[in-house]
Amino acid sequence: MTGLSKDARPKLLNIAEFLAEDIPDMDKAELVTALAEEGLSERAAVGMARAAFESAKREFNARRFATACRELARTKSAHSVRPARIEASQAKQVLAAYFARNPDAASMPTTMAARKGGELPEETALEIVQALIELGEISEDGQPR
Amino acid sequence: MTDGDDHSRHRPPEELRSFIETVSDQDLARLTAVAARLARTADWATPQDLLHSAFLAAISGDRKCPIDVQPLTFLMGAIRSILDNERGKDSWADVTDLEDDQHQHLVVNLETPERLQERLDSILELKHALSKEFDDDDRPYFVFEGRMEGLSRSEIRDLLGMQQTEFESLERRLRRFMTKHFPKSRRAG
Repeated sequence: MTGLSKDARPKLLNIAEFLAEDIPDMDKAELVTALAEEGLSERAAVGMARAAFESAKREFNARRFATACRELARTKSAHSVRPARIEASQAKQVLAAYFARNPDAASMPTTMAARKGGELPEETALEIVQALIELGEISEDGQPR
Repeated sequence: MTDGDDHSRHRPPEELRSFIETVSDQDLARLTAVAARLARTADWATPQDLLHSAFLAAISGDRKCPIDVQPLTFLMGAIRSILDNERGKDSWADVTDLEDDQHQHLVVNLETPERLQERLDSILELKHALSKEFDDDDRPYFVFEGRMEGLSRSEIRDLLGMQQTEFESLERRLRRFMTKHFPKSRRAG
């Protein structure tokens, strides 16, 4: 790591700020021009923001579900945690199989049920798998009980 | 601090969620434009990544919006902070921290100090084109250099002895030049 490289980070941020600081005050026509410079139509830009919001909501719901499962498991069982014996990369497959077997999984948020683990970050999927193990829904290997 | 104190100082996450759900198309486009411009300085980030992270931080309460800050301004600031934080995380992550699964995820986006420097160097190469574009007028370069070094707009304007209108016009021309010559941000997928 060089001292010169450490300087690069604040400089890049300063340049980025300069590039973006006129956008808040742009009128509609200026905004459309600015978006075109980024290779985006106004419609595509709106679509991108909406898609980002939808994915953020899904991740938030998944996190909340994992937390709720963990809390429920803690309440239900005082015995020691049985760690999952699967890799993070396998967690989504395990979840998809669980949802396939339990399409009406109780207290499952609709968005989660629809996703069936497909777009979840691996770490979040593994947390949910861990919670399902602690609830006694699946084994440490991710198999049905 | 109690929850009551926190609510009196910050907008609750539900308010931010509701704001994003009801904000105008034009302001959504504005947020995307900010994300796209900022993402030009980081080849690992897409505008959609930055928007996703900013929205998630807002609705989860991971980032708090002070009560006296407008939600749109807060979201723009969140996009900027996320860009900088992620860059810092990726650039300076200690290699010994990369052993567990969670941290190995960072390797995918790893922007090494060398790559960071290369990116800055490629930007600095614009200096020559800048001089040509502005017919050897040094002032755009001073604005560019000054902003990069963290000087404020008013400091630079005073140093150059320029009037507000003239200075703003120069900034606009410089920004147009930079957006034309900078690589565009990476797209998702």
